[in-house]
Amino acid sequence: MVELNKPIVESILDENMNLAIILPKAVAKEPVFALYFFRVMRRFPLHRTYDSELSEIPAGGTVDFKIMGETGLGAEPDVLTIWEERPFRILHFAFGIRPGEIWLYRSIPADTPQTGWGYKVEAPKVGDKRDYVPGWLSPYNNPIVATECVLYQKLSMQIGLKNDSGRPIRPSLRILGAGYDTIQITNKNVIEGMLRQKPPCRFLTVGGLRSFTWTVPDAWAPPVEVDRATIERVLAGGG
Amino acid sequence: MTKEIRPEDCFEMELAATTTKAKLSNGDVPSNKFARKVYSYLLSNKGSTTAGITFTIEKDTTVVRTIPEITLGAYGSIDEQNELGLITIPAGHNIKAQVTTGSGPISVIMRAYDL
Repeated sequence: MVELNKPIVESILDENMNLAIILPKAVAKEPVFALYFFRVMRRFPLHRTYDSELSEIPAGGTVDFKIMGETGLGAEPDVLTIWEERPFRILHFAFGIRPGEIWLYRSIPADTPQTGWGYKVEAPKVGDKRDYVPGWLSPYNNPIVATECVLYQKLSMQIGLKNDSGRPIRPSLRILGAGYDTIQITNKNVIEGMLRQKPPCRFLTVGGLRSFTWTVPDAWAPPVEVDRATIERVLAGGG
Repeated sequence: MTKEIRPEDCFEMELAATTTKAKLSNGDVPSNKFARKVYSYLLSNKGSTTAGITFTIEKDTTVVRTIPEITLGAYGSIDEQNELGLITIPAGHNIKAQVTTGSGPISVIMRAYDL
C-alpha cells in the first residue's frame, strides 16, 4: 500500500519497473476501466520551482483553475506540456506547497476538476472545503503522494489555489518527481500477470474519480479493458 | 499526517502603539481557524519616560480578555518566546493594544501561527 503521506521521492519508479495508468471507461453500476501498461526504460528527475510566476493572493482569496504557464498561471506555453514527438514520455510528480495555509486544487484533464468524494453535485470549485491538498499536508520541501500526478502527451492539467489564511500570501510551489521514457506492454499474458502483481506493477490513477472523456497519444496501442469478469478470471488464475 | 508548524507558516503582527487603542496588523483571526498562538513578542518603548502597554483580545469590539499591563522603562525593551504559545487568540477574535501608562509610543512586534 502506498500511504497518502508517503514522500513522492519514495514512490518514483526505477528503470525496468512496470506501471499501469488507469482511465475510466464506465464508472456507474458495472465499472470498466481502461488500463495502459508500460515498462520504464529510462528516467530523469523532474524538479521545478514555481514561485515568482505566482501573484500574491489576498487573505481568503482564490485563483481559479489555470495551466501552469512559463511566466505565470494561464500564460502559454504550459510548463507541463509533453512534445508530440515523445508519445511514450510519462511525467510522474507531486506538488510541494508553501506555506501550509495554501490549498491546491487539481483539474486533470484540464477543465475537469477532480474529486475523491461521491457527492451528486456540480464539479468541484476552487475554494470548496474538499478536494484540495493543503500545504501543511504536502510541504514544499517534501511533496507527498496526496498530490501525485501522472501526465502524458495529450493530457494537460490545471491548478487552482486558495489562501486560507487571514493575511496576503505569495505562495510557492515545487514540482518534484521523474520523467520516464517507456515501452508499452501489450502481451496479454504479461498484462494478466501484472494484474496479479507478478511481475510487480505500480498502478496509477489518472486524475481523480470523476467520469471524464480522455484521449491518449495516437502511437499507443489500445488499452486493456478491465471489468469484474477480468479481475475474477485473473485472480482465479485463469489465462 | 499531523500539522507541523514550519517557519513559512509563521507571520508577524505589528503596531506602533499609542494611547489610542488600535488593532495590530494581521490582527484578525479568521473564523475558519481553530486559534492563533502568539509565540514571541518584542516590545520597545520609544519614549523618554516609563510607559505601560495593555493588550486586549476582542470579539468585534467586545473585550473578552485583558492581558495585565506590561511596563517598560524609558527606551526600554522586552522580548519573550515560547514555541507552545504565550497568548492564544480564538477564531473570529482580534488583538488590540494601547499605551495605558505614560505616552510611549511602544513598538509591538508579535510572531504567531494559526492552527
